[in-house]
Amino acid sequence: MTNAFSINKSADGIATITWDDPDQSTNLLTADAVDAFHVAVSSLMADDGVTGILIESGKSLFSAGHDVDRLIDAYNVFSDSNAEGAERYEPLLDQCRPLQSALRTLETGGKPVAVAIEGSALGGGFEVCLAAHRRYVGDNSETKLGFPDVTLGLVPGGGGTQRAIRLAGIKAALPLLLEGRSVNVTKAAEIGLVDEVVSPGEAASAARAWLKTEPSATQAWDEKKFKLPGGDAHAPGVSMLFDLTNPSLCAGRSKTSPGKAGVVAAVYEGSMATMDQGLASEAQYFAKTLADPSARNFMRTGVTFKDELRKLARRPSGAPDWQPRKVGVVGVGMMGAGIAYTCARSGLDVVMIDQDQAQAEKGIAYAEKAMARAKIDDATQAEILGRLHPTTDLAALDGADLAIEAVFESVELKRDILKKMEDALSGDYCLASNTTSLLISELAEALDAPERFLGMHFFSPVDRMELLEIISGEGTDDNCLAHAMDAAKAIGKTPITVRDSRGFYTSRVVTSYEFEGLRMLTEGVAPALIENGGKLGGMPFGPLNLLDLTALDLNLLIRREAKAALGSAFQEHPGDAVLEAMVETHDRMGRKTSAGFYDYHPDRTKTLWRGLSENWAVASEQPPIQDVIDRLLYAQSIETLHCMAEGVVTDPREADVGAVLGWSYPLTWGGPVSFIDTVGAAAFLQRANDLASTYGNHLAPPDVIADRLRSKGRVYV
Amino acid sequence: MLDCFIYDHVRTPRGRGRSAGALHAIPASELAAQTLRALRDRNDLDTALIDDVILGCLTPINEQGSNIGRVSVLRAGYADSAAGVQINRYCGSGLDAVNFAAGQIASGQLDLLVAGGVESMSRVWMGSEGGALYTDPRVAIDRSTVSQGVSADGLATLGGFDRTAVDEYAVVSQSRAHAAWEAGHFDRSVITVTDHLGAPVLARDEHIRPGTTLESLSALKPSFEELGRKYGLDDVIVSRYPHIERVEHVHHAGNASGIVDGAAGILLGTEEIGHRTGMKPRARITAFTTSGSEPTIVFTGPEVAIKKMLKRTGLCVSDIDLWEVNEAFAAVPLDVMAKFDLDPECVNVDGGAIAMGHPIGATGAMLLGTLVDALERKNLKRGIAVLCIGAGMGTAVMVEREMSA
Repeated sequence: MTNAFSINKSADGIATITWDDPDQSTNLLTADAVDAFHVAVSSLMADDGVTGILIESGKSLFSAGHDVDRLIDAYNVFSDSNAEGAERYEPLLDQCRPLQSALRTLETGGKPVAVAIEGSALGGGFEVCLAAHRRYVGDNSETKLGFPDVTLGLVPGGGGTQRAIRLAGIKAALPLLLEGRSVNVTKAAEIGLVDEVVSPGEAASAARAWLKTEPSATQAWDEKKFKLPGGDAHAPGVSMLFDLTNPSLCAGRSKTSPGKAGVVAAVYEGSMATMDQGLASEAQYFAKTLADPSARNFMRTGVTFKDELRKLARRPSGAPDWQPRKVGVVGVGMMGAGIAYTCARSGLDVVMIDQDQAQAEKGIAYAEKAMARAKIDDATQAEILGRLHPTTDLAALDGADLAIEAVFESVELKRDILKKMEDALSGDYCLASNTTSLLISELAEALDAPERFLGMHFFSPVDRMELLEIISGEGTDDNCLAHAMDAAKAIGKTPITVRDSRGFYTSRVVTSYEFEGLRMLTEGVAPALIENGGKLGGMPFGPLNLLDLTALDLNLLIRREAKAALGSAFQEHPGDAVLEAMVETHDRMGRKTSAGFYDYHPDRTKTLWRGLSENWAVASEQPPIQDVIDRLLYAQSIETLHCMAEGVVTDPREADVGAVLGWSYPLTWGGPVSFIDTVGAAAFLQRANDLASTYGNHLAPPDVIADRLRSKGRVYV
Repeated sequence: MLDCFIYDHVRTPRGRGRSAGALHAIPASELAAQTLRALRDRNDLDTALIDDVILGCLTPINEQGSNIGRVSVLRAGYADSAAGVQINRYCGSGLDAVNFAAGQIASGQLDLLVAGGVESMSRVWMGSEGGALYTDPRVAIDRSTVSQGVSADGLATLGGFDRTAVDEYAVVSQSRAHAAWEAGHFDRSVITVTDHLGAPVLARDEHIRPGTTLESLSALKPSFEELGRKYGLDDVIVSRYPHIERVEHVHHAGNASGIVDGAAGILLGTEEIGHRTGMKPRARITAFTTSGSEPTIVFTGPEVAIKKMLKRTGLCVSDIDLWEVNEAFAAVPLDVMAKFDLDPECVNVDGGAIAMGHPIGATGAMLLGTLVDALERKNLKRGIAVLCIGAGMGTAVMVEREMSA
């Protein structure tokens, strides 16, 4: 039994439960913790000497986090089970009923309970607070209170849906539950989720004082005449909220967190029922939601895999620890400025080098704008700006541990700059290029020490996109790779490691999505069907829209460069002619010129260019929408499998996380590799082969992978 | 199976559905009762012969609650033995009442019924009855049901009816309704609603705007654009119909059915009851049907119901002389006309709900009455009345009359 909870009884009859888990840095509601809590509470309720119970945390945060590993395990048990009917859901119900039950004991045990909240209380931890009869919170601007469950694809399972609506009313509580965002203490008090905000550190004494007033030990909702504040789901003014919320959740699993529909349903049904009935409803929706592989994907890719990669699970073992202190960024365009700011924000000293001083100084302006947008306080802003040093002098790289080149995409220019950078660097440095489309090995040819060079592909906007694609060239050594990963960690990025090849991983797979859309256009599929097919599969943008955003002329250029480099090995694609026509015949470059596959209007709306059907005839017979949806998803998975077969990507976790972070691949599928397990390996292979026989061999899975899948049955064990 | 005949039909004029409307002070059961008394008095009817009164009503709560059918029968002073019931198939209710009555007559179990409806939209607001269709997440999310206005715009987009097309249709409805009134087409069927002392309160549909033009309509903003774009309802439509790029919002108060107060009743019976009472049949109900249809786009119900009816009767479009297709939204009759290639001159010949209003529970009966009148006036044989219905349904009735030489 965990000793996360210690009990201290004082002479005045008040028993204090202090939650301070010695095995974790944050108080987390593991299964053990829930059991221990229930035992502690039950014993106090049975103790005649106890007149009131105070709950507090011994850590700087009250409690936060979900035990996602346990939830994923429960899903696996459910998924592999042979049980039938409602019984199948028992392993999933076991993940929420114990906490629900412990909290009912807390609030109906007959002794008044007060909780002192100092520091954030999120998820299950906040649900514990709501079950107390009174909540005091210390006034701290860092304290966040709320229910992040939907961001993990889950429904709150500790009575959060039922207590939040009974305290704050549906109108205030439902948006909080649905968005999964947290509120500050002031807002929480305003809507009734906490009772009183007190000076920081004073919550426990305020709670104790309240307990001494012999208060009621019954929750309002357990009283006979209780009415939900603001009314139940059909009250005037409340039903409209459901009417306007439900449509946004209609498009099903592909669009939104699987937890959201369960949250709305639990709130709707529970609002017209007793607390115990509402809790039963919440538990059922919790279980139904967790039963869907989508929830597993949100948690596994979004938390487990991402955390593993952020903690550098893929760092070459044996490479010594390394910490960058000074960074050099050469080329202060938008990417260079973003990289510089991101490094400075993380405490690193940065020299921003450009051939033009005014351009170098734009890095300062970029940082100022970003900090204003992020509402960073003046003192911190000054600190960060103090770390940015604009200059035209490459010699400023002296002493830099990490040097990143971010100049214009030209092989000659980059080689030239990189050589000059190498000359200015010394010691145990790591040299990187932010190139998106040029081969690392090709750039490395200019260097004396190619083993210290690799690609660091950042994503725009750098300060907000957490993915870093690290590309090892032929000569890159483990030490250099480890440095790059240490740098990623130092600046808060999530690294994926990729072997040098055209398009690396992210560009290559996103291009496969875009070009499958172009292929369909040439086949006569209606543009609207193509775009909707992409979005119905969960992608935030249709393939044609995405091409517009990444610029048609740039995409054409990349294809032409590849053709020039590969010669006869270059594989033509029907999409090439489309790009050529759009750029050279119709002078349409995409979003940046307000004209691409879409026309972009002054009122910020966009409509598909009418000229598309004139130039690429729309066939009278259209394919079924499911074929369009699947082609666009399968194209990505198949391309990813090719990347893995070629050794460009060697860890499926990196493929999944890279997709989700790199181009907003829908978390509901977990990534292009998790997609296979979600659909089922056998079904995936069958469907891929069906699509290939109808629409082209490019949709066929590579043999070596297909064989492995057939024998293993799934990708992830 | 016995024949089912229409012996008579009446309706109240339609008052504006707000507090300034002429019928706002009149309780709904009184509106219905006045139609019942009119049917009795015009036909010198012994109401003890009436088996049942079936009234459609969409918002059967408060004043319209607790079986307004029976309440209206009592209020009308009918004999004790005349039963009463209220039904609700949303906008189709008034016609479904006719169908339910026709079925009981044809089966030989009942002889004489009144079927119709009543809706005081100014006294009992549409939507005030609650319901789960859009509100309960397990219905709305699982079945993608969205507010009808957006569905109607979706229908317009699917059919390619742009703003001009729907507005032009509305102008036609207005001018036809106005012309019909001027020419006395409604003289036989519309009763004057009176106050407690018998003084006239309303004798004519007050919702009509005879001066309506394309220009006057063009000033109106689309009513459902914000709802559709901001709250994701458009996305729901596009998800179900992914070959359209987006929903074009074209409907507004000027090309959608008006919110009004009104009641209607149709006297239906066997051939035998006609002999017994000396009433002459005006038309025979030869077919009636109802069907569900796709609940997200909602308004393909009439198409489905018409196909079902034609298939069962073995008739085709060219066998039908006149059509009444409820003008819930202008796109609906436009869609039916396009899908069945109907001659617009044969559809809603005396205007429709855009001009005169749609007192929801009663409209079905009003359409059927208008159809019978028009067939008589033009000495034509056969007509179909059909309504689109919420949550995706369609109800239709086919009538025939003896043409005079």
